[in-house]
Amino acid sequence: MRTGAAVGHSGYFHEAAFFGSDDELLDLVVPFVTGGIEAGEPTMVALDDRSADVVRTALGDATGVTYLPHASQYARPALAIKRYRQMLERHVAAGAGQIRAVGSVPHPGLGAPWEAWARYEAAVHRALADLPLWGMCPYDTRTAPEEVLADVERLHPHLATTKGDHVVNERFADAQIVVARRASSVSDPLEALPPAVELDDPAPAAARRAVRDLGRRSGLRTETVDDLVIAVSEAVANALAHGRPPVALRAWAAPDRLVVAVRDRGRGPTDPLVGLMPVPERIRGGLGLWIAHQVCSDVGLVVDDEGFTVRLTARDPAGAPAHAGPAAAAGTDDVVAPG
Amino acid sequence: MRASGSVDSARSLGPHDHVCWVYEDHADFLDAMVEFLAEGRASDQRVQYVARGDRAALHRHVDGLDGADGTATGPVLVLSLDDVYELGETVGPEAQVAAYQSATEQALADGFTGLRVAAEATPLVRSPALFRRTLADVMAGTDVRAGWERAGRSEVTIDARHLTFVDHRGLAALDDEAGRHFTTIVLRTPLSTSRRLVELLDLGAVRVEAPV
Repeated sequence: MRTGAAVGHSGYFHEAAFFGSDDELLDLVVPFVTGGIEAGEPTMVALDDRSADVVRTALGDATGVTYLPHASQYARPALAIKRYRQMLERHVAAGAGQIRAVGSVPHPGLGAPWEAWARYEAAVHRALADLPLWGMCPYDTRTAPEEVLADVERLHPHLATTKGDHVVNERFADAQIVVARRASSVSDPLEALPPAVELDDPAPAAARRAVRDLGRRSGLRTETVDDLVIAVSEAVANALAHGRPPVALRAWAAPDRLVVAVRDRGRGPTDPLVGLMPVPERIRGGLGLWIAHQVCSDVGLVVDDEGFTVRLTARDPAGAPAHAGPAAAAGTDDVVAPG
Repeated sequence: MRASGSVDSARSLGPHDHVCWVYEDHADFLDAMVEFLAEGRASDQRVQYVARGDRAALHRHVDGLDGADGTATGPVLVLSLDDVYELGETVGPEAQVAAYQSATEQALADGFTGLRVAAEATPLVRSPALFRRTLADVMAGTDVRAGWERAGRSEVTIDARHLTFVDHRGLAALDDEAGRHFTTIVLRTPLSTSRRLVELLDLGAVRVEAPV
């Protein structure tokens, strides 16, 4: 059974909210959470650490709330979708009629690039569409940049106000797809530099070898490089199977990241959200990009006059001990020289 | 693949087990194959070597085995794939099941304790599509299926210590096969990428272990 603003709604009730002070945050979140507790609904809070502290202090020892660590829940877009989906399915299986979740979607004000999370906001709407979730995404107008706030308005079908109103968002439309497509096209500055690796029409095995070798010369952890190797293998296999030749692989290494661009001359997948959506049948198409989104810290899908490019970025997870590779030892911002 | 490694894993196998070896060097395969079949002879099993190539050459690969007499009815049999498969073709699982079923029954009727087969699958698996079909065929072999059903074997081990990569399609194919036979496939490989993919894809019927 649906309760609160989502009464009568079927599937995901996806709502944005804006606040400009701690009091306004509480005006949004406290009734949302206490309403969930009173209705006996699974209620999850995945706010950034600062906001979570404010809410926790206000709610005291209220039972029936699950606080999810923000850093791991929002480690990367595809993982966040996967984790939410798994949690929600468990609750539905246990008989929940509605689940409530309030979460801070990362943006530059919280130290994350917006492009990937704009795609997330567009994708999560569809990826969780069938689940009885009331999800609230509060954005702090003090820290979120203007362009983020403008996108957020277009990415949510419902809006919550600090006065307690819940309204249909007239500005939500297929604009979410426009945002997702634009967000995907932002390039990495490394791409303007000469690549360290350049391969024409590589077989997946050759691509894996080249990226593994470049990874060894970088300062990144072996696990991070291995993950990138998986993603590169999938991207190259996809380009060979579904793209138009020739296929070009270029790779760059900086002390904090490896970037690999795999380009073919085709138009790429029609859906800009591909790879972020759950894959119902694991053997069907789209799984390669889904895997890439799971294992890379960022995936860009760029369609331009040159064709279709998958840009894969690998970074060590925050807080991971650095691997004593040559680039890390150098301790500079120099890119690994082409070679 | 080192012969000693494969023998170690083969020795832990029972009469209804099925083990796949992954190797890059043909000499490694021959060493492993001979040791594997020698073990079978030591247990008084009839052994059969299945590979591509001229039958006389194949006989030479196994002529050191106890009882090797070059005949088609003795303790050591040789089957050339050239005689069985047209190039680019595979034999369907039902036909293989039937063939191994009758070969096993014949071995028992001839007074052996069982049948042990070493088959080189490489010539059949040069293309990914063929690989998937062949994997299905291989996994559907009588000895395996009957073994699982009768003895309740719960695991099939694939010695893949020298595997350099396996993508999600290969792992999903293994998972499907294992699921179809109500068993678990243990992939022995040091590849962290395989472990990662199995975890990501929630492949419940495949387990990745480091080689012993």
